Amino acid sequence: MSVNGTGYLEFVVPGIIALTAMTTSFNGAGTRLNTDRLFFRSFDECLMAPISSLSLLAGKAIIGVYRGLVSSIAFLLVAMLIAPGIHIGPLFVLSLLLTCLIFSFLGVLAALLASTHEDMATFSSLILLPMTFLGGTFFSLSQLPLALKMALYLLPLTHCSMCLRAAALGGSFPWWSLMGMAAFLLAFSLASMAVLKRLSV
Amino acid sequence: MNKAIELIGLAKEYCGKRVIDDLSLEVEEGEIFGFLGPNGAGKSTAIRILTTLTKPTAGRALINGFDVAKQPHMVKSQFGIVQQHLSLNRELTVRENLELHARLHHLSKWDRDRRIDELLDFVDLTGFAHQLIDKISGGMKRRAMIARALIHRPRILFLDEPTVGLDAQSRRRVWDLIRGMNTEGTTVFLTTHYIDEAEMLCHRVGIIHQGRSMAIGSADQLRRNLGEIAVESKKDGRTRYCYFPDKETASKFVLEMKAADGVVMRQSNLEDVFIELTGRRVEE
Amino acid sequence: MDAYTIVWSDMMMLRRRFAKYLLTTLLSPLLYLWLLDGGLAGA
Repeated sequence: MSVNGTGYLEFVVPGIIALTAMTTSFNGAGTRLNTDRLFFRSFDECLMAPISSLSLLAGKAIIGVYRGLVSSIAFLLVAMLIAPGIHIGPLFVLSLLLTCLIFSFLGVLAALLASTHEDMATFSSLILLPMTFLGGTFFSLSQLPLALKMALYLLPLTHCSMCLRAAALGGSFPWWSLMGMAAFLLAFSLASMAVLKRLSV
Repeated sequence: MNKAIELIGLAKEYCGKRVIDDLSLEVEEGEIFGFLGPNGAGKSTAIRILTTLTKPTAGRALINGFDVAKQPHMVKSQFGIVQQHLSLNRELTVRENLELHARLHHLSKWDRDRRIDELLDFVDLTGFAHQLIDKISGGMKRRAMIARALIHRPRILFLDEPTVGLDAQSRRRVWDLIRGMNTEGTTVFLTTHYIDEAEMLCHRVGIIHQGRSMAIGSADQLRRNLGEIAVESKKDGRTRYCYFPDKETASKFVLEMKAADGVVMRQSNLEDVFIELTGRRVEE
Repeated sequence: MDAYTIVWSDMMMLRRRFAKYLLTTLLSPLLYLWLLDGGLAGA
């Protein structure tokens, strides 16, 4: 079986990488911060330290980024043994980095909004789980009807898998999706900043 | 004397409910000041405002002259805090927790290492430096939190219910630590619902009830205002308390009393002051 | 710099259970890979 002229295995590996980066970054930043806030209650200590809220948020998000990178790179090493056709260049690294950043900030945002541990789980099952299957990870968007395609473009993961796939398989690179990723990153980081400001009321 | 802490007409509302209402007080540099009040009196909220975690609805709070709402960044380097609940990172060791805090307060590597050794020694945890927080006892955790709060040499230390849930020995040890750091010049602001803690440890006590300050002064002053001598008498199964400025007036009153049994004459204490001011026992 | 301090504290934690972490996060992607590869190759 092949999709758009590539073997399905080669086609699906970048999708799984996008997926791994999404889950581990979201959990790395979000679940960690949620535990710090509500269970260890050590987040207050950070809030009372003389550091800017930007550094605080960036730090919490970078935790997600490096955890996401560790997991996706580890998976990539295994996957390259099975699917050697994967090409890793600067665009691939950039897309992976952006993917990790987007979902780390989404994790931070979710953790700041959550007032219980359950909220966090709800967020995961309502937002992350549907994205796992709909975000262009296991299939190509090209054969879908236009309306559905447009709807799936609203999911950040769709853009991540498209960029990672194009970079890994050497197709024409979807620069618009890269811009979309940057937009999602900006939106999530600004939103978490706003929520953090509201926390101290 | 400089003012370390100043509250001016402070108020805080949560969902339309006033948890702090027109609270004004001053704490001098070098003092141990205690906020005494039952659970839910607004003590922790006051500390949250002073430590920049919450913004006041009205009024001002100043730490070493810096406004907590307007200059939070300046305020943050002035104080250390020991929270009521365990707020250490449980998956890090004692030393790593201290190091994290020192790094957040921008201590240089050299200063950090020296200061951590010094404080581990101060709180008697040198032998436990490399233990995970989860593996040490409750008293040790509290001491580790005290060490952490002192890392950046703050001039003011807040302690929210510093001895809650500790056994008698650990409690005394925490008291000694508080006295020790106070002798070295740190201003201490603590909250407690233990009367003996306020009486034995604090130079001055503020009694807080339903978000309002009822009285402020040294334990002796507060007792004198009420009356040095307390007379308890039982009537119909209820105890009545009367207070007198000295033994003579109290004795005269006791002699004139008729048909009362179980009359006890004793020195008044902070608990008497508390009950008279708030109409309830502190630990109710 | 302050951001690094926060990341540093997480690295200290992760260091202690790195193997466990790697195993748990790799489990689901490897399962996907195995399922999609094997499942479709067999079909």
